[in-house]
Amino acid sequence: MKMKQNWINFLIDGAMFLAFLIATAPRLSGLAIHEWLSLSLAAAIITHLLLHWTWIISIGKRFFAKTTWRSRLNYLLNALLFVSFTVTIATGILISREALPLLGLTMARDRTLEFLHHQASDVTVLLLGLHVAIHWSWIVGMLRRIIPVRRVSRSVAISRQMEGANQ
Amino acid sequence: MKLIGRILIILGVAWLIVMGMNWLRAQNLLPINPDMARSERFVNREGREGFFRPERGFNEFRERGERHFEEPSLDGVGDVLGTLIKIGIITGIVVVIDRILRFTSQRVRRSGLPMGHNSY
Repeated sequence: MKMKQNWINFLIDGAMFLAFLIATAPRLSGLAIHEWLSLSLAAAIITHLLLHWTWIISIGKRFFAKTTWRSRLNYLLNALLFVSFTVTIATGILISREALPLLGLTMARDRTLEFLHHQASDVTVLLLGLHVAIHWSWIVGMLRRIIPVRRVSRSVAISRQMEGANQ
Repeated sequence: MKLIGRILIILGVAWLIVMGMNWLRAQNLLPINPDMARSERFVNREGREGFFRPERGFNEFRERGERHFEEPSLDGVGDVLGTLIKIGIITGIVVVIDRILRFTSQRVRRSGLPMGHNSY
């Protein structure tokens, strides 16, 4: 059950990471795909938060009480990541030129919002790097299950070498 | 019902963040202002750098500067790679620092030395 949950998390997080990478390059995807992909990413973030709801609540309750500094740092980092994602997506919606007009909404052009969108997006890249770093061992563990790396133990390697020398 | 409640909490917090951002913007407490944003550098279609000055109209800017990413183009592959490299570098640095810290704390524990600066 736990493993199944891990795989669901891994697939959703992987898809989110890929979507984020594409969303940071509107020149590659074009503006329409950039905007719709970012909106889908917003929905994926909500799903991600719902999947980790128990952790959010449990660490949130213990934040000022008994918990490790690693958990506190992780919690703070995730909170900042949520803020930066929210600002990026909100400013993105407000300066939208493809998705919003399609829904019949048009906003006045605001260069400040565009600037803020770029700045928030840069901060998100930085925080995402830290987020990935904190979960690196889990990511590597999951990847090893997909691509099993054959690790020869030291004793087996020595015995093989000795066998080779005897022959 | 529980799920809807949680979704509403997430959206509510996001809404508060956006309201906070808007308040900061209205109070000019953000480190940006419209003039600064207007002078943001852009690279126009011909690859030349230019500035969107306040006296220039948006249409001119649109004609020359922004159409370049409205259509998908393989020129943007570099942007994806750039982001990936940035994330990779940040992750790499943090992972290395983390490994070093774990290694040193393990060595201290194994050697039986007391941890902390004032212990000796």
